[in-house]
Amino acid sequence: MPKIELKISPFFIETLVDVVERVTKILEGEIVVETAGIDEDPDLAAAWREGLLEALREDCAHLLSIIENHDFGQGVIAIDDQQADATLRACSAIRLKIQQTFLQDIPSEALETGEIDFYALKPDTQKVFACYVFLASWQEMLLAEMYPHIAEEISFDEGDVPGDEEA
Amino acid sequence: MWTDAFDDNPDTEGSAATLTEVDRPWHVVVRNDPVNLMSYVVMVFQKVFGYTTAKAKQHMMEVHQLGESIVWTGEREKAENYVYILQQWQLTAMLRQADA
Repeated sequence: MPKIELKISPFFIETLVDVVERVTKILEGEIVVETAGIDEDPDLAAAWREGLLEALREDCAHLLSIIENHDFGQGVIAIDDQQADATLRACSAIRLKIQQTFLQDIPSEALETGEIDFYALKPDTQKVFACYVFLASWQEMLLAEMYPHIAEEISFDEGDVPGDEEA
Repeated sequence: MWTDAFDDNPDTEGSAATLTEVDRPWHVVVRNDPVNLMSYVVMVFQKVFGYTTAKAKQHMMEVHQLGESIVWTGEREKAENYVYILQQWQLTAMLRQADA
């Protein structure tokens, strides 16, 4: 069971809850990932999307239940493995939706490298961008706690060329 | 589209073409996105496919550097299931039939 120590200012938590609630409302009715071409049968395609949407709603509800808890950000929080997986997925979904909705003017490369002039952003965008960055940090903390071998082995060396092994 | 190969008359060349289409395996393809963390993508590949960290990392690097990676190949039903699970993990995953 991952235990994460988080000390966050109540002001930022308020901002985080506000942004996550807003984005979660958007996600109640639309999935984030592309599903085009999955199935030519419209009924099956609709069932596919509805299944994804239902799973997404559950994941976002897990995330909201954690950040809306009054202990969040005040010390150590323990999350069971199932809740941690849901949190990881919800953080990804919310970050993707933030990128698609609020950060679409920022080039993908800048987002990937993090080379963004925070103070050049509009105040509203600063708010969502701060949450976008926080959710990524939280994912990193959870991953480091749950899968330390991955964090140790991941190299961000651009010269790391993929080999030819097939899946 | 693969259904274009189907023919109403099973005795024509179309039926042979259909068999060929049906027999060809399906790829599960994951495309790059600017949002998901490298460590997250590696974790998902390990969790979904049971890959070693090295293999999962190799696929992640293909996604990151080449724009996409074929992460699994096999029968359509299983491939569809993998695509669905990867989409639940918020990865841009899709099905693609192998070339003839």
